[in-house]
Amino acid sequence: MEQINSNIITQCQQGDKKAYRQLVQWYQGMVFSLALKMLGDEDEAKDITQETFIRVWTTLRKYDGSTTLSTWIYTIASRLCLDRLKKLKRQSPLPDDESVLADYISDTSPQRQLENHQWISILRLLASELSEKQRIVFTLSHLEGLSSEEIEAITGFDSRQVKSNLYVARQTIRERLKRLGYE
Amino acid sequence: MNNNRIDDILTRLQNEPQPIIPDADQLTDSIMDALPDLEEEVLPVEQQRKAKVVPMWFNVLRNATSIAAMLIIGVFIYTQFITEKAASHQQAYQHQTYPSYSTLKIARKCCIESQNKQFSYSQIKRMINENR
Repeated sequence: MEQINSNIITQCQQGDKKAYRQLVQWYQGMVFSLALKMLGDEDEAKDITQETFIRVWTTLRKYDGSTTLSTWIYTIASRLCLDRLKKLKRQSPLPDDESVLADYISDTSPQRQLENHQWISILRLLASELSEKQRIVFTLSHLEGLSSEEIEAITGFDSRQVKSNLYVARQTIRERLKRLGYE
Repeated sequence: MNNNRIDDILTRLQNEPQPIIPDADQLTDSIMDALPDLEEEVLPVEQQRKAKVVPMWFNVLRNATSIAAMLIIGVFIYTQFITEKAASHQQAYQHQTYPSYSTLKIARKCCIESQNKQFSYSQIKRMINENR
């Protein structure tokens, strides 16, 4: 992910709210994306996005630049998502979710772009059987496109844990797709 | 089995653009409105730190009075309990009378008592001599 100008970070650390608005606009899509894919609920995702940026604002002075700011924000957001996931009820797939996935797979036009409710349906169908750890690793790696090193920094897992969680997550989703007839 | 089809589905999901925030500007505004003011949060802590700094003489006086209070309590405990107990032990020992018919029995009794009361050897010997 493209990083924001370091001058803006410095200004934010000095309490400049105008600069912070720029920072929020730069990164809020990234946080919302993670939260939506993790929690499968648009309102919850907005709530997590807001909570993440409030926490970033209050702790930004501690940011020392040892990781990229996006990794640092992802760390805060993923922890909040995992906490929220524990409080929320596990989502079971709905009957309509299968038709959403079928439409997505059959539509191969390049202009096609998943809408939020379609993301929610597809992930509810495919990732509902994943544990919290598997889900965060799968989301960060496969859906957000982060490297293993970034995932280790964000989650605090070592490389072995990242690999094993990702492997199990992929296998679980494969099995799910097989059961749905995609083989 | 056709794993390629499953891989294709996963790859397509991977290449999907990020979900779009509905009313992104509204979300930004709500975030900005909810931010606490850092200046207000930081200053009271610094002020509190300054307020906590007390003069040296106050610390010395505080420590001295604490030590004095502990000493007074210690002396009180010593006079009330330890010396009283010692005196009562002494009295009990002085009032004991032993029949003079058998020195061996007295000595034996003293030994048994010494196990319980922990008299010293010299005390037992003195008791034997007193009852001769």
